[in-house]
Amino acid sequence: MRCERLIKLLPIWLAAGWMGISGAARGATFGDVVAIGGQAADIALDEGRGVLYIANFTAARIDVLTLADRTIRTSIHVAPGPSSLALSPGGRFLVATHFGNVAPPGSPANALTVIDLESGARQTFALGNPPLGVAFGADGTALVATTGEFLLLDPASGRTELVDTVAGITATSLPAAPGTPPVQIVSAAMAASGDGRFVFGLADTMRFMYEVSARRIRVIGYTATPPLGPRVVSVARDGAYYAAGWGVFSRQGVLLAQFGNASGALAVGSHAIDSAAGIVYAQIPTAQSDTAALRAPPVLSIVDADNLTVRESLRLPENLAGRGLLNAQADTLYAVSESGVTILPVGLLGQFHRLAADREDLVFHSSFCQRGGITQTLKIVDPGGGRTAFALGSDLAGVTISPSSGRTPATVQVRIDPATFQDRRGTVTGWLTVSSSESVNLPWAVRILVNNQRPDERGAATDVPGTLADLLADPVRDRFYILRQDRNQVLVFDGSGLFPMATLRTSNTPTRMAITPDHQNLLIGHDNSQLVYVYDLDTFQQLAPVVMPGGHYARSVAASGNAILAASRVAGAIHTIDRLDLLSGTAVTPPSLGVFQNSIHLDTVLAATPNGGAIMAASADGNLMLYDAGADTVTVSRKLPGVVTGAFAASGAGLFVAGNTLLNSSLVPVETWTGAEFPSGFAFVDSQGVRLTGPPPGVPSGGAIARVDLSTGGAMRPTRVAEQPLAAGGRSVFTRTLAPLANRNALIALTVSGFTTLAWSFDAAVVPPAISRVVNAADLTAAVAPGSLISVFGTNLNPTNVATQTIPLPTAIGESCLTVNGSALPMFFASPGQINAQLPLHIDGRVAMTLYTPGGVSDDYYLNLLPAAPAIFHSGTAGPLTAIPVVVKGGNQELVTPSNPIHAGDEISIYATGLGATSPEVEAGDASPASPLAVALLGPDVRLGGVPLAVSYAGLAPGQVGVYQINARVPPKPPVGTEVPLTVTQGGAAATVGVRVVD
Amino acid sequence: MFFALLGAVRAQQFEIGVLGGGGFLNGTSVQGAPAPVTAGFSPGPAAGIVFGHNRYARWSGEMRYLFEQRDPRLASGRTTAGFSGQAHVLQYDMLLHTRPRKNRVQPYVTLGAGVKIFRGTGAETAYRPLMEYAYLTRTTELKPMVAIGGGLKFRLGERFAARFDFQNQITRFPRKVIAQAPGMTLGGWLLDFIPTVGLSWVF
Repeated sequence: MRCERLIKLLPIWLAAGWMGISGAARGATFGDVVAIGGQAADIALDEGRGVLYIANFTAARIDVLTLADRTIRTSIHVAPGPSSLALSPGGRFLVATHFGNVAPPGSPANALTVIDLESGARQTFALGNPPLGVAFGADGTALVATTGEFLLLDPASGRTELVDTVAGITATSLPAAPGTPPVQIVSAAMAASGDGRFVFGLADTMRFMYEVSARRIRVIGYTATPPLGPRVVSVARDGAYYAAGWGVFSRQGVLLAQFGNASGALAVGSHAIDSAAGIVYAQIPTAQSDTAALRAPPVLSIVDADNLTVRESLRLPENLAGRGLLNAQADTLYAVSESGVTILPVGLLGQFHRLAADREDLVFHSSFCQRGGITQTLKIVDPGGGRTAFALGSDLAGVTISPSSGRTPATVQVRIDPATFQDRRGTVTGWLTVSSSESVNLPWAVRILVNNQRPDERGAATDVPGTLADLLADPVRDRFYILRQDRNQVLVFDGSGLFPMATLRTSNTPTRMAITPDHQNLLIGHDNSQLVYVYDLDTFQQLAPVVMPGGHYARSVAASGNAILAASRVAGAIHTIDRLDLLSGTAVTPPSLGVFQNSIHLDTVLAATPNGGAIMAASADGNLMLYDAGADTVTVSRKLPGVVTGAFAASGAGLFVAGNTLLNSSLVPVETWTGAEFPSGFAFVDSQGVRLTGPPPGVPSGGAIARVDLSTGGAMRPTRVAEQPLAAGGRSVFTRTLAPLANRNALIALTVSGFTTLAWSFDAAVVPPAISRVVNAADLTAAVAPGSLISVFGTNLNPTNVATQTIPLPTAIGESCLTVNGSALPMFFASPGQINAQLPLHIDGRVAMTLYTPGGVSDDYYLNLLPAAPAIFHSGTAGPLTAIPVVVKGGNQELVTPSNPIHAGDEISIYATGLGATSPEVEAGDASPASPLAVALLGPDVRLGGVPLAVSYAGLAPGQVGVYQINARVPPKPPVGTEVPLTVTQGGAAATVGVRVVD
Repeated sequence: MFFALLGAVRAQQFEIGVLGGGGFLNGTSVQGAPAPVTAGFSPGPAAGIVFGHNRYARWSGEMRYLFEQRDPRLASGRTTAGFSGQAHVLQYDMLLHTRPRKNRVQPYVTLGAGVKIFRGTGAETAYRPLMEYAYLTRTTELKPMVAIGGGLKFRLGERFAARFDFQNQITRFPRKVIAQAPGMTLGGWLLDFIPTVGLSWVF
């Protein structure tokens, strides 16, 4: 997915002068190349002697690189074609294989050299078959793999022992075609685990694992498309998993994850596993970069070992081309490369210039009550803390960046001109690129989203960065799940507050989700892993995954009452429906689907009916199938004319939707919706359907949502949506973008900036709002002051619950905006009955509050502001206790409660709002700074049971919006009791809470 | 005063020893709770020292210090809440020996008085189960105490004696360490049954 994003960004980099146009903008590279005057086939690291041995395949020598000064001081001349190296555990013996599969009229010269590094003695033995590689186990013997057998070599005596034979391996004949690199000639790789207990190997048609203690070989034959390149094997220290080519396998051989979109080039790329850090350093060329090899620079990715999520990408000076080795400290990576060896000081990465933006998305959301330019702040930093030059650019007209270049750390203002976007419906997406001539990394571009919501558009958009591939509402819990494909995550959101609850890790490139009929487990299929992940939805614990058959990737999963099915991409010509067994963690491929062949289109999605009675399979080529759980077989297979894209859904009433077609229980079309709109989502709600459509391709517009009469198929009361739904489902033409929540309060739509919340009655007639009460948000009393956080109560304040974590707070949230004396207030929560917001600083006395919604304008509500109105928050929770005054004891940083009472001498922190003006002044909606602290101009008086406390700080809490913090110390002899009054007085106004005090 | 007393009776026979054992306490009910809730202390070890002076044929006196691990706890059904704690006891006992001193085995009964200092020492937390009924508190509370008991001494040669002792330390319930929640009532007597074994040096 990372690759996909890079590809998407390619034109932007071009526009930014990243390549060619400005040589300086190409950027620095990471690592130093040591040219050897030949072509390296393998390397072996001898840290004891401070050298790296390089098998110079074409020059018939082993070059010895001194690690200290990175120069080749000596070379050991050996037999022709040194192709593989291995150093014995004690460092005494260096073993080299010689690939000499010379075709007639020449003579084969396959051999093995054992070099005693202590005495300098050297012995060369002939081999009967071309060698594939050599690796030492912990027992001091070397496993030598050839095209015909596995041999164990005792380097001290030179004796070999046959472990096993192997057939069907064809070696490249010499002489090879010009331009063929050594790794491609040998076409095999071997490596041992760090503890020496296991040796893993890879050749064109087999992978093998050698268990050193048992002296047992396990060979797994395979076919791979594209070829399993780069031809490198890297092993975790304990041998629990290993990387071979573009795949990461378990010791047992299960493909845990694979690098997406690999080109399969055998002699380009490398990888090395840092087990302790749980990361893999990898250069895996992608299909696109391979075809554009002349233009695309080589990139080293630092990825998570378990799911290959990219953490960082670094520019390389040249392509790596074989084995990668980390030293014992894991701070230096040595890798075979085109010129010989590239040395990468990965432990010193923090000392290199790098760039990063502190946000993935910049969202500009204006509305009918907020006009004028909108400015967002972005920080450009060097993660290592350095001062790195940068330049910023955008592909969107109407975007102003200031400054557009500079040195890190820098705060950048990005401003949009509303006039540029005033005629555009929906959300306009663009990119802000970050480039540098100094940085060695490829910084992520920042997505720019501009939305100008009109009064006739429904829905409140919540920003969720990344590539979102699937949406599922939990049928029994008040939450929903979004699949973030580029970061390999399932994002769990609360259905009422819409805030993120949890993030679940997936394997590489998750594609679709499903919930089991007992509502207990979440299943996640992947495009780049042969595992289906399983999570317990009560505990969010990851359970044992389901292992798919070899070469099968479960891209879509659905669970019926009888069977769990997966539509699998298969590494081969025929893609299949597989059947999963959660108990055994395995899956099988049925030989047929009832009377039909088990052969499906690559892009097939599955949808289960809510009652578990059936599963519909819809394929992009128009083929449809229906699995009947009662009959436990496929009972219908039918083809629609043309291709099918977009929505897919199944109801418990025997109705299905595939693309623009409503189908009956025999999958016969009963209604086909026409029009150019893209059918993005469909949901069966009660006895109706709800259909979400996006604009035709290329049309700048928002989406539309309409109820569907299922008896006629007719759309009722189409309603505009503020933001257009997704038009692609990650790696599929199918999209699941609409989910009715179990709480029946809202419908969630996956839209371009994240998700959009639509009221359950999104098409109901809109009603003007009415404000009934305004209180401070801390203790819900009427006293408020400039800068106070407030709660506004009333009716029809907003169609749905919407919360934001964006800072600065937006002045329009959901479909509502609130004003005081005509100025919009920063808001952080809106719901039909309540809005939470912050009062501006520069108002006083009697002010008029007005709420604007699509339903109209509220009557003015008049507030009397006090200069200061301290109010202590009652939002604390502890166990089942709620509404606890937010007074925190410094000793244990827990809320003061009767079981955590205040003691003599304790330092306490009181959190409140309404303490008025500060120095420096902080604008409403902005987070308060940590340095300098924003101190309250009017100091509060704090008393405990009437005894004054020494106040060490009173001002805004750093990082918070509108929240004040008072730090005070309890005297040595405080009044004790169960309900001692703790009073904050400021400017004549006071707030009191009861606390327990003991001596 | 202790050392003055020591000087006054220097010509008499003294005894100094160590004691070790455990304690078992009764609980008390929290009144006002909708369900039965018991407040009290977990059984725990006890150890200390004793200094005695044998002034009369059948009577003797002893000064005793005991350290006791006494963890406050609340229990209701399967729900419990615990907190670490300890008690320090300083007391003076009168011993009535039922046999002459020359006998190798000397049974005795005791009656004493002193103070018992309860200390809650656990980590306080914002929420603890059953806190709606009572609070386990990190504080110190001193209570007057009376103690009754008895035991046996076995002479082990000229200078040593083994002893098996049993006492019941009686105090009012420490209502600061285990404080009643508003609307609840907590009180009564706390009985701490302490069997110990010990070894004394007679000089």
